[in-house]
Amino acid sequence: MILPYTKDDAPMRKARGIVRNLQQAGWYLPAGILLFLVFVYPVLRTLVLSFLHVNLESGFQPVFAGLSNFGRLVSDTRFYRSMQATLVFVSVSVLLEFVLGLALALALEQLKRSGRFFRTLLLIPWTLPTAIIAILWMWFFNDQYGAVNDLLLRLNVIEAPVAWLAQPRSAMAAIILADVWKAFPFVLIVLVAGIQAIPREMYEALEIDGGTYWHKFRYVTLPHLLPFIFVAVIFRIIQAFAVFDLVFVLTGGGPGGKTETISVYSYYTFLRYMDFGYGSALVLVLAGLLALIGWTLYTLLLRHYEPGR
Amino acid sequence: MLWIAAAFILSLRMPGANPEGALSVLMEPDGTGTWRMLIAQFEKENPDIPIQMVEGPPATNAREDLYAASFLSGKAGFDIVYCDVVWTAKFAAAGWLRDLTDRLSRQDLNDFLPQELEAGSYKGRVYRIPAFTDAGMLYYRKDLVESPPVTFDDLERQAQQLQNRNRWGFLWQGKQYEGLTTVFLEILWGFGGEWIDAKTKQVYLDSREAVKALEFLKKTIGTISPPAVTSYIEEDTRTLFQAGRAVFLRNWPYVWTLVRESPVKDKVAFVPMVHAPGESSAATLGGWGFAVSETSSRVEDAWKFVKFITGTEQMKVMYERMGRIPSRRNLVPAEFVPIIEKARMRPAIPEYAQASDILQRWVSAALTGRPGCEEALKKAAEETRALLGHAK
Amino acid sequence: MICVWSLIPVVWCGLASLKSSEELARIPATLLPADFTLQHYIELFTRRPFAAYYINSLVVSSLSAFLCVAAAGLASYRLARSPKRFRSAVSSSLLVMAFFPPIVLLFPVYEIIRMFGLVNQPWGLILPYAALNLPFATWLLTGYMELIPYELEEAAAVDGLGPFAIFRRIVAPLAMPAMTSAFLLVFIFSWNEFMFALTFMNLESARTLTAGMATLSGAFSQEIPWGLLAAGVMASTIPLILAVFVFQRKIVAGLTAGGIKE
Repeated sequence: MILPYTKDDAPMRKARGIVRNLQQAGWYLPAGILLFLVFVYPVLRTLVLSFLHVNLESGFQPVFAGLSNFGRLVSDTRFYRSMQATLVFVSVSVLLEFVLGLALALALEQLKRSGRFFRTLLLIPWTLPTAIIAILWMWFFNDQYGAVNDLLLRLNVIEAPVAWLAQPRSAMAAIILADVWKAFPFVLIVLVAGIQAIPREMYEALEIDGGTYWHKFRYVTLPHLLPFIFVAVIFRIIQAFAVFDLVFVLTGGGPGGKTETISVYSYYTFLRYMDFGYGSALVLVLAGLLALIGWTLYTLLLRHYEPGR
Repeated sequence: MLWIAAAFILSLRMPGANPEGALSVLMEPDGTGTWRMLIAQFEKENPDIPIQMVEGPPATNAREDLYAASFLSGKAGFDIVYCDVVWTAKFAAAGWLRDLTDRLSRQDLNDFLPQELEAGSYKGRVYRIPAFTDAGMLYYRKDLVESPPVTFDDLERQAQQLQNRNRWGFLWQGKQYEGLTTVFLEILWGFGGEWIDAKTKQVYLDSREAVKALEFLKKTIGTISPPAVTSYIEEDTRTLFQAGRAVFLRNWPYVWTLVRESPVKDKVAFVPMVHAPGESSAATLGGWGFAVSETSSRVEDAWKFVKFITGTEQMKVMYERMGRIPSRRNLVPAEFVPIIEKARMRPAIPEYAQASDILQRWVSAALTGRPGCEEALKKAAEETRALLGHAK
Repeated sequence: MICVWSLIPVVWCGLASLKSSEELARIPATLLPADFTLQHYIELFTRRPFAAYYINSLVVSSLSAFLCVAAAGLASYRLARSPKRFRSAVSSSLLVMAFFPPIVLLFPVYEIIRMFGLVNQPWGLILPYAALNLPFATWLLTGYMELIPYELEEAAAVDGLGPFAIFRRIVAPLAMPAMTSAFLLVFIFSWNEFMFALTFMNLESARTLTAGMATLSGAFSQEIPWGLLAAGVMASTIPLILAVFVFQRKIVAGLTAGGIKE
């Protein structure tokens, strides 16, 4: 599926000589070089590494391992646990982000002028650097002097401070909260634009026929929005799988390893344990999984739109 | 577009290159300016050896990653390694550090704290020269506590008596990270238990003593320690203690310097960690030192720097300005001696990171939920044995 | 209402950056600064070469965004005019590449950067950042380029313009909205990127904002300087937010203009 961008692969309908070929290919050259260096080479290298043992034990010299890394992966409980944590995290946060984004997008549409202003304000969390924000969230979630408990106490939502990060369940909730806070603007913006693209006449037609708000939503808004929804969701899923800073800083994967997502596990494997062969296998499986998810969603999408006709 | 052109020009003009011939070392952030001062001193005495200090992130693991990335990506990385006590085995096993054993004089060998030297060694050879040392200790409010506790039971009793609505009894670091390992080890050793014998690779995590240690910690949660203690790191506990919210605090020496500028300033004292009757107190050894990287092209110069920065005078400066306890025997301030004496190092095995992670995960799991203490430790022991046996 | 919620952490941060360190350590936490101080900001700018950070971040972000959009622009123009199968194949493979988490790419790219001697050079970051965002940018621009009627190009060709001239004079200006949006998105990404920036840049003078902030600390390395950190976040984010305010419409347009067909 991966097409190497080489000089020989220019898309040609009428091949009129090498010069024409080169000329065509030239368009792709800068992009191609960049992609090759930063993507293709590392990906290939990861692929190769996954079949080798390269770790402290082997003195970082490559030792052929065949499929043993993958074999180890299959029986690795920590891997399954981290996949479980990751799936919980991804599904809940993307779902929340979607619901929030959709609701707000619809609400904003009602507001017209002031909607634009709020939209910008709402975008702000997404423009903040995750690594630093993670540290701040750790502060916010502190049970004694954190802002979250402080606020909840003042608003009388809770009676005693909640020890957010001290228990697996609440820790996961905290991580999800922080992630949704940061990422819902992404979904919001995509959906807002989608809503704006819906032709007015459709609504008017329904109104004439005496349609309620629910009707409007179901028969006009939703179908038109579907492609946008899919786009927002796919990208969020990809990004959510890769979330690392937030989890690592807030809980380090704890307590008891229960919030350890696959990205945290990969980090540990690569950088703390320096087990590159196994880490590569891990990442490859992850990427494969993501590709599968992406491809499934993409195929479902094809019915509604195609990015590139 | 004009802007882009300007940026382009700027980008080419950027002073990217390393100063010629400078030895580089990745340090912690130099908040007090002390390192800068010491380096300047060295450069004055050795004008032909410029040192380039790169300030890294405060987080230890982040710097470890940066060192690892630097070494793994080939030839010239950092010349000198500012080395944590637990990195020695891993870095040495990876072949990143130069053997310095033969460069140490007999006098030096005697002068340095034995544990620190051992912590800087791997398979009998010295790779890291210690600069300063660290050990866990028990802080307490001397205005509240009549006589400091000696045993675990003492601690429990006093904490229970002295705590109230606004003040917890005992604070420690329970988040799932390296700090938890250091805390647990002190309790474990205090009960007479053991973790791993670095030489024989034996694992003792499922012993009776270990279970007792874990049970002790678990019991404190909700009784004398806040439930949130399993999410605390050093800074959390320090903040609370300094605000007068606790009677006892287990933490590192750095707190001593800071606490004396806090609301509780004259009310704090410290003692060695408590232990079980019949056993002795133990502290987990911390500390940092300097090593020479194997890939450095200027070994002699690098060694000169390492020798300088670990010299007696320099250590005194470090103590005065940064509150860091020197790792030379005769320089350890009297009040810390009882604690440093009891300091024990964590096992010097290359797989330390994995072993510690296993310990952290299981201890944290037992502290926060389902696996019972005994079961958790058994699992941890199993995994650790598999890890070490596998590595032979 | 939700607005308030999403802004609370930011506002808190802003307030925190103005409180003195002692007040920050107080429990229960105070809301408005009782001990108003600008000390953190002063410390921020004097302790570290923040000016250099701003410049570095600016240079790296703008150039990587520019490079990315330029390369993507060229490629997607061609792509938009290509036969369907080829285009789908390319789009899919771009997506697949986007699936790989940056952590995997860190070491190999670091090796390559070392090999070319680009450590501590802004180009050591500019090239990877541009490449990392290429899949997204290409995807975005291709969709937009398709909307540009082919007749315009044909007319220009009849007038005797070569393909590149057509691109430069006709297509690119028309695609400007999408290109600006892509530019902004890559800019934001590069400004906030942390992992690569920290690993590739050692020299203080070469560091970007996020990397520089990562090395903030109190007098003792175990101490977390909340006030300083908060000030740092505000100092690095406010310029970004201002830029967002100005270009907000363009961002929104860009995010969605790319792939959706009516």
